[in-house]
Amino acid sequence: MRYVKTTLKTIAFVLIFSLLHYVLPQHDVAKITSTEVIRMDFSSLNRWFFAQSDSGTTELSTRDMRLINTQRKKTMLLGFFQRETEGVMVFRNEDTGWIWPPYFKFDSSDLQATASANMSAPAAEKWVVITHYGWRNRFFTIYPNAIAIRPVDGPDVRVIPWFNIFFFVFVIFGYFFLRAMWRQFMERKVDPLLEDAGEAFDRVGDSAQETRGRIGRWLASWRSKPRR
Amino acid sequence: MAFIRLIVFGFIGLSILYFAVTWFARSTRRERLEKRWDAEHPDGDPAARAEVVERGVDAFKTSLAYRAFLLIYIVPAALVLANLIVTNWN
Repeated sequence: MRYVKTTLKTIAFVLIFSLLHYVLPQHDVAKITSTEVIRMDFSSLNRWFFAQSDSGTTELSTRDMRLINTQRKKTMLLGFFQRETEGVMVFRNEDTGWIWPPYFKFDSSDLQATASANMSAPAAEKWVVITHYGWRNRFFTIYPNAIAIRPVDGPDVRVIPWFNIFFFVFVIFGYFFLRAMWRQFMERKVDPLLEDAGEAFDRVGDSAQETRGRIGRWLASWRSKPRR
Repeated sequence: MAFIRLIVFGFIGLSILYFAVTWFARSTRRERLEKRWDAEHPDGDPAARAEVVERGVDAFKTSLAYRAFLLIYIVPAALVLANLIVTNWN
């Protein structure tokens, strides 16, 4: 039983972590080397990892997609630490529109223009901070989606992830709030019902001394613990 | 179409949150009123207790603080609007 619980908890943790890692914004310090448009023929395997066609257009099974090719500073430990090495990264540039994830991005074309305007050349390096979500995976052919491009002076910038800070503060707050709400619900609505039912049950079984003890103990396990 | 879907499901989700939060607020208020009554009238009349508590909860329901729970609808909508502007502003 303990193993089952541990396994389920681990799976839940991995799923939630992956979801958040996919959906929450991250920042890359990069040089844009080129932009391009390719036609994408989605498969059932990678369709999940793409948004839909631009918000004013219709959805077909195949469509053109904007890509931004970059040379970026590699990072480690969830992007918190910048490394000296550089590597290539390809971003897609799609509208998320009114649909998941809730970035409400409708300006893919403008973002592509911004990318072109901040193109880096070997003689004149230009650095930008690219805000994005999503993963790059070669086997599934999926790309992170660029949300915003901000020109910066050089590669040594410290980006503070304000949104993620607020997000996790909010999640912690929400957890404790929900827990308090749940306790209040159990205390005011469920416990009185159970007590009534338990008393009725106990009245019925006048010889069932042992049963009463068991019911009582079971009920006690439902009652909220005294607040500290 | 996607916009309408967002509105509909957003409204459903926020309504669930609204009812849960307002129930929680009423319940804690009721509990506090009950405890205060019990402290002030150690062997008071249960009917009077019920009436005082009920009146207190009703007063709370028309208070400004209680109406502020409508922010549960307003704040997310405002955040979406702000996000929309920040993301797409050129």
